[in-house]
Amino acid sequence: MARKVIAMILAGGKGTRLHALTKKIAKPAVYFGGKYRIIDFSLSNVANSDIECCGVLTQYESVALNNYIGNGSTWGFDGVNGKCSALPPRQTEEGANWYEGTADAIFQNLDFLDEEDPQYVLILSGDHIYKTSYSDMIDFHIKNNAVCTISVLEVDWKEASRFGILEVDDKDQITKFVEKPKEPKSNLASMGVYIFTYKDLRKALIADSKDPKSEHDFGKNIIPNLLADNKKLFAYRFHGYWRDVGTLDSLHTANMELLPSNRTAETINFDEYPIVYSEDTHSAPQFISKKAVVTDSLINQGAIVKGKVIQSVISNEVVIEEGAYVNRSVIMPGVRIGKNAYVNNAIIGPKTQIKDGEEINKGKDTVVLIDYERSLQK
Amino acid sequence: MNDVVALIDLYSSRGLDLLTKDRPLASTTFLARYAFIDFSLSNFSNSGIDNIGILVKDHPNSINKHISNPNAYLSNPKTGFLSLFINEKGIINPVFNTDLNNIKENDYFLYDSKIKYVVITDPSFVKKVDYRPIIEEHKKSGRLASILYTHADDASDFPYAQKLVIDSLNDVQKVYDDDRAKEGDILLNTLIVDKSFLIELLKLSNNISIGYNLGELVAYCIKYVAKIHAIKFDGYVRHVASLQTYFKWSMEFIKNPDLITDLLADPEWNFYTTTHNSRPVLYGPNSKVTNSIVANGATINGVVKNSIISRDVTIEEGAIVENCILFTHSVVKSGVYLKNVICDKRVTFKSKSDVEGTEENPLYFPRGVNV
Repeated sequence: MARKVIAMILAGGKGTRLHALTKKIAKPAVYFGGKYRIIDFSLSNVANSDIECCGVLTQYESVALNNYIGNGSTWGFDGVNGKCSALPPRQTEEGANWYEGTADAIFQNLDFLDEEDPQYVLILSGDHIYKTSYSDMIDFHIKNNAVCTISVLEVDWKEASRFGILEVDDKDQITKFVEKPKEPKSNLASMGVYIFTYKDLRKALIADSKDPKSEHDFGKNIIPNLLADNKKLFAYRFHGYWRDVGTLDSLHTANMELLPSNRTAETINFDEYPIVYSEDTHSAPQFISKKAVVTDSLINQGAIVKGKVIQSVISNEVVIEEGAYVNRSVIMPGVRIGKNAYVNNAIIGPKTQIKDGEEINKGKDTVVLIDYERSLQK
Repeated sequence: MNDVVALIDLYSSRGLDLLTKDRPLASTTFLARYAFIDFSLSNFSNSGIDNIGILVKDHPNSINKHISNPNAYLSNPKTGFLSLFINEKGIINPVFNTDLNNIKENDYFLYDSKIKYVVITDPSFVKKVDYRPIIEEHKKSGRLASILYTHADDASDFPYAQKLVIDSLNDVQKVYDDDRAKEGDILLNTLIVDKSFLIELLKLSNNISIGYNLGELVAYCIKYVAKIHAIKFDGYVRHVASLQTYFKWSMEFIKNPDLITDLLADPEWNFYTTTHNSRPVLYGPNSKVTNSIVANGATINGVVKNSIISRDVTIEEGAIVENCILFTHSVVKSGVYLKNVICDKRVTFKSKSDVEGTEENPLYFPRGVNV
């Protein structure tokens, strides 16, 4: 039986604006919310959409991400009909090729798709924070007999020029797509989530691969070309919490939005469906010591808190020693905050050592990143 | 160690009063995120033993629910196995529901030619043990069977365990009960036995009594059949055999938090458990938590002191929880004060009231009640 839908997750980007956090791992593998990695949201969304087969296109620093994805069992893709494969670039008869763009990444894996022979392909980014099931979007796509459906978010008009903007008619059929328009005529921003009817996608990708001028990008080439060919493309309106955590500030803010004092009806609530699945570490339960103070925070198992933690996100195997003060910070796994250290408005990268008495970003409002490499140097 | 089969004997654990009314001790919550059987399973797995059978006496659903994913415990579920051994004849007639009869009903592993040794252990002895040197010592002893023991300077820590007399050749002379002993060698209900000898013992038990259990057979064996070697164990071991000892050994981790890092957070010796996809713990703006162990999924906005809080527990603002063990999905509403309480799963404390037990006799609230 042909699979109805296959998901392809684009997870090859470096995420340069996250600086040292992505020096050794790809952006989708960056830790988030004390327990999760960014890609857990996309993979969980796919699993929660009853999609059983999933390819994850990796490229930049792919080893950690490939290991993390494994056979997809963390998200339940190891069931009888399940499949989850990391798809890094590979050597073929034509030679070794890097992925030259989002569309090229899918094009180079047409054999993976052909083998599964899907009716529809869901293409999405592995570096956004949101919870959803794509089932309604897939139904919407099928009902419209569309070639492609793009998930869109209504953004603030002031922000619209930062996004790929879609203009639509009264039935939400797309009439125009403009990448980062100076004077936007719509505030419907593409979320980088596409559903394609596979036979149409296949044709479009093959045609694009033969175009020497193409950047092989969905936003810049595939979508405009389909529109130029008068194909039926629709916009599917997504309502709810969605964050691009591509910068240190946005990563910090999205973490802070998980805390009780910042939560709203819209922000991520892990207790509600759809569930976000993640690796469950073999950690001890967390321990809050006699002298500890913990308020308005999110703390994962395996953490040991002996100091003061205010409005912070603390990951597994973090130790916060006595007298240490951690305020409005995101502490990634395996970090030790030394005795009487002071950490303010910071993201502390995995396995970083903050020395006893050290002061990080004291009295400052801007977010600072402290990383593992720095610990090695000192 | 693919020549070893491990059996976790749920028959030899004592009950924990009402706490084990609807479940075996093995699947009872311990230290917020584990069940007792996790310690036995992890010790075997970390020792390279991947063939594990669980001798289930009663309440199989509870055990089945906890260990339904063998991948959580085994290094390789294809080459190894994690199986529930159920004695169906024992279900029909409780007289036959013994660990020995259970092994006889599930004896297929005895026909596997690669299996040479069998280790049988009781999960109510919580320990951190590497079985590899123990099995080596058993092999070197030249005996057909060995037992594990520990020396207790204060035998009152093991009021329900049997004691041993060991001779100068490290063979067991006698197993006896003495709950007034001040110190002594404590039997840890762990048997290491050559498979061929276990087969003989099973045949022997048929001739003695169909109602014999493993402990009785070992005592008989020591007296009449063969020398049994005694292997000393000096690591962490606690015997959980009553509601009081459950509370005492749980709270030991609160009184001596170094145990958490030494025992539970040792990267060289993970204790595995089943996953529940719970989020990290949410501490509200008014939470005041000190000296406590907390499992993921909990939401705390009240006061928690010297307590063990399991998965998905909610403690509202204005609630005070002190010296308590709260099982999963418990809810403590605003205005409630709890002290020295063990509350089972899904208990809700609704009304503004003080609920207080003593450290020696903690108050227990059964599963699902509203207070």
